[in-house]
Amino acid sequence: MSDFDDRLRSRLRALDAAVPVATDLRRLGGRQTSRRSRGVRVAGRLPLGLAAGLVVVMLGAAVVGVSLRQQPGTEPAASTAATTASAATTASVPAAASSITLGSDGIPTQVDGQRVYLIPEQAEWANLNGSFLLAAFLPIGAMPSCFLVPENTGAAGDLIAQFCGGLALSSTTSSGSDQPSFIYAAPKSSPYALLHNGANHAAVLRVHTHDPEAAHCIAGQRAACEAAVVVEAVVWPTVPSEINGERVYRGGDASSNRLSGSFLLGGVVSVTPNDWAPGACATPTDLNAAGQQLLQECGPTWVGIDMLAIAPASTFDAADGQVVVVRAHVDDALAAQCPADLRTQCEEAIVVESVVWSSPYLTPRQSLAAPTPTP
Amino acid sequence: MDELAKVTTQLTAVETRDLEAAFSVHMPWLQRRITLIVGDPEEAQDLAQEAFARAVERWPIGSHDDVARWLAAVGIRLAIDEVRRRRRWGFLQLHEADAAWAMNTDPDLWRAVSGLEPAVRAALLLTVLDGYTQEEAADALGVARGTVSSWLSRARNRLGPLIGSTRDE
Repeated sequence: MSDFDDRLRSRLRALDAAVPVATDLRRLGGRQTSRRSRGVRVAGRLPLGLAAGLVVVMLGAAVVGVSLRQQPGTEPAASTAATTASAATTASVPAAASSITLGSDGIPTQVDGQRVYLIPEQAEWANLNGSFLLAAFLPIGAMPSCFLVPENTGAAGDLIAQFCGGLALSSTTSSGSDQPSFIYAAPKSSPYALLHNGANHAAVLRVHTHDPEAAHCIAGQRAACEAAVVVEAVVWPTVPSEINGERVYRGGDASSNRLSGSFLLGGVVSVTPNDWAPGACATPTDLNAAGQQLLQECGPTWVGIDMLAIAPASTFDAADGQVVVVRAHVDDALAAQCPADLRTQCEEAIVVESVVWSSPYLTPRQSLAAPTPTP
Repeated sequence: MDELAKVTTQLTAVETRDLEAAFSVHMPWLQRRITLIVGDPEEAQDLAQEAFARAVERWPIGSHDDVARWLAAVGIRLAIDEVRRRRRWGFLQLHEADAAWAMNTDPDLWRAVSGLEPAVRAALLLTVLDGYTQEEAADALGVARGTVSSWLSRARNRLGPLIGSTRDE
């Protein structure tokens, strides 16, 4: 190693040693995790550093809600090349819910004959037995994490530790002064990645209170544990998990899978105007024509599917709130023309080729006028 | 560590013991490494926990070194994704300016390192700080070796005036 590297390493070591590290880590972030190979669904999580109180301008929206099912045996360095199945314009996919009654706001009032409750109707749903349906706007990111304190570990940590990775669900309708405008869902709620990455779009959730784990809370926390809302699944709108035998990837898959070649990508379309604060947008240098075709950097709008940026070169008329499955690819030929220091980002850019499935629904997005949850 | 036992009910007793040991050994350095990429220690804790949660899903992974490299790869990739995700929403500079722990230690170096792209930063840390070869860093980051080489060259050019101007302690 050169003298330069020795000097750099010495100073980096000092920085490394100065990092404050939590020393009382009682748990793995409050998740329930079990071996996939034994058939138990994993509650994954994609932590995001944005506060749950962020509100985005409404353009009209759609929401994706599908249980995230991870494939076994994925190694961090392995590429998961999708098969090159033909991109049918109408895919044969069984509908997850066959009967939807929409309200005037575009959000279901019934799903398969079952009533969809609203958050302000808490007096009606708080003591229901078993699962029920609840409409909510999903946040754009997780609340900041915190250091867990002893009384918030165990069952309480799974149910009521909302400040340590909790999920804030906003009401889809105006609330009275004595009614909640938002609630916290229990940290053990799933599918974590989709719930925390909802980009302020609406969803209908299957939830329950009086979770069996509440019996393990200490006496002083028992009432809060019993009242905790645990999300089991997103039932509307839905995205197929596979089309014609080919897996449909979601935004939450991107962190642990290096996608290559052509693949199916499903999720909610977000078209968001960028309102950059002065100096807040870090534009990379030397973004040439190829880079401008592949990378969204400090543009007037941001377009994504399941919060994954879509390359400007995509063949895709994006409408905010659409729920789609698209044929896409990475490693576009244009990437070779990108500046060397942006080559990897260009190679990872997602280029949409076509829409292979589209939900008939658009879901609203929370407007600026809607109540904003505050911790 | 009592909660760790609860979430590993599907593992054998030996696997659970090994997982507990791995958690104790690897969690601190993983947090530090991720913090050097995202800047925010609390966010790094979150990401480190996510990486470990994924490790639990795949347990057992292999030897001590296998676990370390696996965690580094997943944790750093999560960190890079997080920085990029924050950039989309214009919060990158706000978060990194709050790294008081770094500003109190070596503000010049931290500012210089913070100016590097997250993937470049990760490559630098893996090779200079953790002793990875360029091939190993490329494998961890899921890129070609030439890309890592290019990144390191760029990083050294950026840091050169700073590192060359101060004597080691």
